[in-house]
Amino acid sequence: MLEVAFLIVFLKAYLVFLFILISLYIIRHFIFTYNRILSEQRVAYHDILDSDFPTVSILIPMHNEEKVAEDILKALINQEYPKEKMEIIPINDHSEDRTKEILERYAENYSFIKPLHRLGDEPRGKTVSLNDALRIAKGEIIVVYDADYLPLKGQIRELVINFIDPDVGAVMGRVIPINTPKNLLTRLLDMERSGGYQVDQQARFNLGLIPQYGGTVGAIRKALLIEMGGFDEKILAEDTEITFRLYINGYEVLYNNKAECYEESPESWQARAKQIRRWSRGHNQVLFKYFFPLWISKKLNFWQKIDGTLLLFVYAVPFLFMLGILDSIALFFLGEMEIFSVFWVFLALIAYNSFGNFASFFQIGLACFLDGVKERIRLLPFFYFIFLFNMWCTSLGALDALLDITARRKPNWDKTERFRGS
Amino acid sequence: MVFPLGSLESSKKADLHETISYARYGKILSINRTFFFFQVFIGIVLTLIFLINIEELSKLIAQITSYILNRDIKEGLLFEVVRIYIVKDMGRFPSFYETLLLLIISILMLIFMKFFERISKPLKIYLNYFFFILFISSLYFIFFAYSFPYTLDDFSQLYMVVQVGILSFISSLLSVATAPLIVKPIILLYNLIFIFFVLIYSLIFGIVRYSIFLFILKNYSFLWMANLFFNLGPLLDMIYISGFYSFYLSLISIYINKRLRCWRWLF
Repeated sequence: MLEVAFLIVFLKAYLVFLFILISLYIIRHFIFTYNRILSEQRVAYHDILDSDFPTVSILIPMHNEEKVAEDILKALINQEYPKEKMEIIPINDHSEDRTKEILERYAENYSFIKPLHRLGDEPRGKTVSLNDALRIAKGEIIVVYDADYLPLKGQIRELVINFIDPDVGAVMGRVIPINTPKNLLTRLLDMERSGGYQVDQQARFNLGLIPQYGGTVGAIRKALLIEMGGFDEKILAEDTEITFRLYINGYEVLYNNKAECYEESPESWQARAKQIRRWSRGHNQVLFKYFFPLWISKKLNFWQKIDGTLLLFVYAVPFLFMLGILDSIALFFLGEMEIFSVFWVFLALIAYNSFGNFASFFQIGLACFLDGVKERIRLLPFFYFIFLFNMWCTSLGALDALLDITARRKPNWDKTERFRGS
Repeated sequence: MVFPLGSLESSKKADLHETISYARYGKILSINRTFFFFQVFIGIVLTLIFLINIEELSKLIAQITSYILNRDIKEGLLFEVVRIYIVKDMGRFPSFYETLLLLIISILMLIFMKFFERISKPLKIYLNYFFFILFISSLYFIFFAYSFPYTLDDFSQLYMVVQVGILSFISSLLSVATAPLIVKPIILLYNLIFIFFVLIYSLIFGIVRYSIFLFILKNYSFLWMANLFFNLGPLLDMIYISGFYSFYLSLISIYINKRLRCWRWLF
């Protein structure tokens, strides 16, 4: 009987912990949304006129990208940036399709396109490829794109001009799905992206917190990157890892909401599930690596540490929440659902439940509203099903990360499937 | 190419504004702060009024439900301080064979879900969640049926207080969520009408759902209680609240996005 009583106390204590943790995220959702829609906005250095541009190396990791390779090369060739100051390094990472031929054809016609072919026994993966490319890159600034991205004409300039500020370590642009009308999933992903960039990233930038370098549509100082040891090859979320490394070393990430770049969202739930699982795995690896260094660092202020911690836990929370659901089911059958037998605390729980469940709808809804979305906002209730889906896939990723750390596994890079032209 | 807008007819200019949206970066809403705080205040006051009148609200819900189900109502005391009214009724325990049948069905459905590829993944995960709870519940009733810790009265009391709680918080929740949209005084009125509409809907929904829950627990047994609680409980309220909110937001978006003066640009 003592064991059961102890179990019940433990299960209830876990729910209280979860209640406090999730309350922090709810408050964060509301602060960010209000900040974005009503407060003064911080803008990047978009109005600086400078003719002395730095040299830029654009790295594009590619593994079997024949469907999209030409499009991104064309978009980069059309950039309004002095060609003598830019080089494009598409990294052919063990492709088995026509990627190599496409890259060679473009390299013959444009001297600033310098493909890097990684073949044979060289290990495959995004971070390893990027590190290889970093060794041959000549630019002062490194810009990274995924192969399915389509930058607008002025984007390189929009990103690079911000490095005039010596405190800026990296710059992140905004990602906008190009295949939004394709199906329900792509429509919902577009809304999710709005919430993430239009509100989340911009509010973090406004409030001087930690906007995230996203690994694509982002620029970073090469000297700094090399000084910090390049990309961490053991981590799947190299973008989040770099973000925290920069902040811990006293540099900031600048978010430029104006630097828009189009991407191809996954068009199947299978592809999306794999993508979220990989993100979660990588992000949780970063959580294990940086939780303590973040708090020890003297380069961040208190609020940045709080925001950084919440950012680190973003992909762990769905897993903890899933455990919370199992915990609640256990308490239900044990007849112990009344965690607090005080009425006002019970009411606080209902308020938490109401505001908590609504918080992400609020953020995404207003982000879409700011983006000028009209009828499509009505898809908002579908996020309830997305919530369960995300919770499941993210939890699997969190478990992967736990296994990586306990069994000292090295994760393999699992590329997101492309749909263009299909 | 630069469009010579000045030389265009005004109807064509309007057409262009239909297709060309204002830049999405660096703009914020130009709201009326007095109306903003007034609406938030109204929302909080409404919440407090509802909370003070929990007893009457529960009586209203219980009376209408009892009328639908042709039952009596009874008084209950929650946390030894809050008097609430619930419908007086008896639930049913499932028979062994009924439980066994549901256990087998839930196992078969969980296996079926694993291999059936034609359902989209989110729906599959939702159905898995539903059948998982049914599986646990069936297993529980096979081994510990008579230790089941709840009566229909317990369930009713919990349902009633959660329902009245949600009903109370809707006004403050939606006033906080729609107050940033008050760029014109008329929107304050629209917002209040919208909040009032959702409150009425929620009240009706709460009554209908309570009637259905009682019907299920009386006719199809307590075995379904966990699923009713975890699948069709407060989360379902959030689906319709967010549904109405998104519909309303889309209407306001159509209205505001065409009007230049509703926005402020920061560059």
